[in-house]
Amino acid sequence: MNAIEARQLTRVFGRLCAVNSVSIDVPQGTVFGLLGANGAGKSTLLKLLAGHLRPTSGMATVLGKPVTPGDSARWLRVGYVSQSRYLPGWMTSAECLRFARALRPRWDDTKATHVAARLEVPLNVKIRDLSRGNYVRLQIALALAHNPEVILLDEPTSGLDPSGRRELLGLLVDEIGLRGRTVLFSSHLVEDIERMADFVGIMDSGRIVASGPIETLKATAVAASLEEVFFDYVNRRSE
Amino acid sequence: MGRLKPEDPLPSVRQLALELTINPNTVARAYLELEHQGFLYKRQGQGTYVCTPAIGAARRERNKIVAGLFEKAIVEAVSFGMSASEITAIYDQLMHRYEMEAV
Repeated sequence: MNAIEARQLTRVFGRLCAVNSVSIDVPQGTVFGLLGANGAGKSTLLKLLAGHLRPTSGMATVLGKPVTPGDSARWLRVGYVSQSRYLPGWMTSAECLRFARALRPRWDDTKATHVAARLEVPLNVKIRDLSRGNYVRLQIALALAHNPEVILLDEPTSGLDPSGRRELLGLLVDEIGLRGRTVLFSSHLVEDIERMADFVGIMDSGRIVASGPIETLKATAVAASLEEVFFDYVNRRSE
Repeated sequence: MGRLKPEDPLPSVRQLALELTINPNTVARAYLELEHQGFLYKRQGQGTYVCTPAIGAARRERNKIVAGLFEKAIVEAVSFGMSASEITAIYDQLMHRYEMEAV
C-alpha cells in the first residue's frame, strides 16, 4: 500500500509553475528523499502533500484519503515540519508543546520530552526569538510526539549545526525503525538523502526529473554516487 | 566495529543504523543479503550471527571440491587438443549463461 500518492500534482503562482505535474508513490514503511536545489519546488510539493496549499490541478492522497486543506482528522496521523514560521511567536516552546498536546489525543508526553531534550529545544524561549535551527527543532518535537504514521519534513537539517543534524538523523533512524512509519523529507544535501532514503525523487524546475529506489538510480546512471546522478539529471535539463 | 569471528553476534539492525546514522531499512537489506550468501544466520528471536560454515574449513573444502571438478574438465579438454584460450572461452560462455561475475 502507498502511504503517499501524488497524481499530476500542479501548483501555479502567477506565471511560475512551482510544481509541474508531479506523480509519486511512497509505499508504507519506506523513506522517500526529495532531492533538489533551492527553488526546485520541494517546499511547494510538501505543502501540497500536507494540505497547506491547494493544488491548481492534480491530486494527492495520504494514507488512502485525498488531501484537502483544513482536514483536521489528517493531522492526527501526519507530522509536518515546515520551512515557514507559522507557530505563534508569543508562545514559549514549552507552552506550544502543551498547546499541541491538548489538540492531539495520541500525544505521547514522554516522547515529546525525550525528543525536545535530545534536540536541546530551548523550552522557555518565546517562539519569535528562536533561531532558525531551534525553530526547526521545536517543530520536530511537535511533529513526532503524537506518533504519526506519516512524517513530512521540509529541509529538516537546514539551519542545524553538525551535531544537531546528527541528533536529528538519529531520531529519524529511531522513528523509521518503528512499524509502518512512512517518511518523506526534502533536502538539498545529497548526503542526507543517501543516508536515509529508500526511494529518491530528483526535483528540478517544478518537475520530478528522476525517481526510483536509490540503488536503481545509481545503477542506471554510469555515475557511482547519487551526487553524480543528481548533477547528471539537472544539467541535462538546463542544456 | 572491528573484525567479526564465526558465531559472533551482529549488532541489531537498529543499533547499527543508529551507529552509522543510516536508514535501518538499508541495514536490514544488507543483513538479508549476507544471510542469502551464507555469511550470516538468524537465531530464532535472538538476532543475527556470523555463520561458521561460510568461513574457514568449509570454505576451503568447497574450493577444493570445485577445483577438483575444474581439473577433471581441463585434463579432458587438453586430451582433446584444446588450447587454453578455447577452454577459457567455454568457461566465459558458461559463466555468462549463469549470469555470474567472474572475480
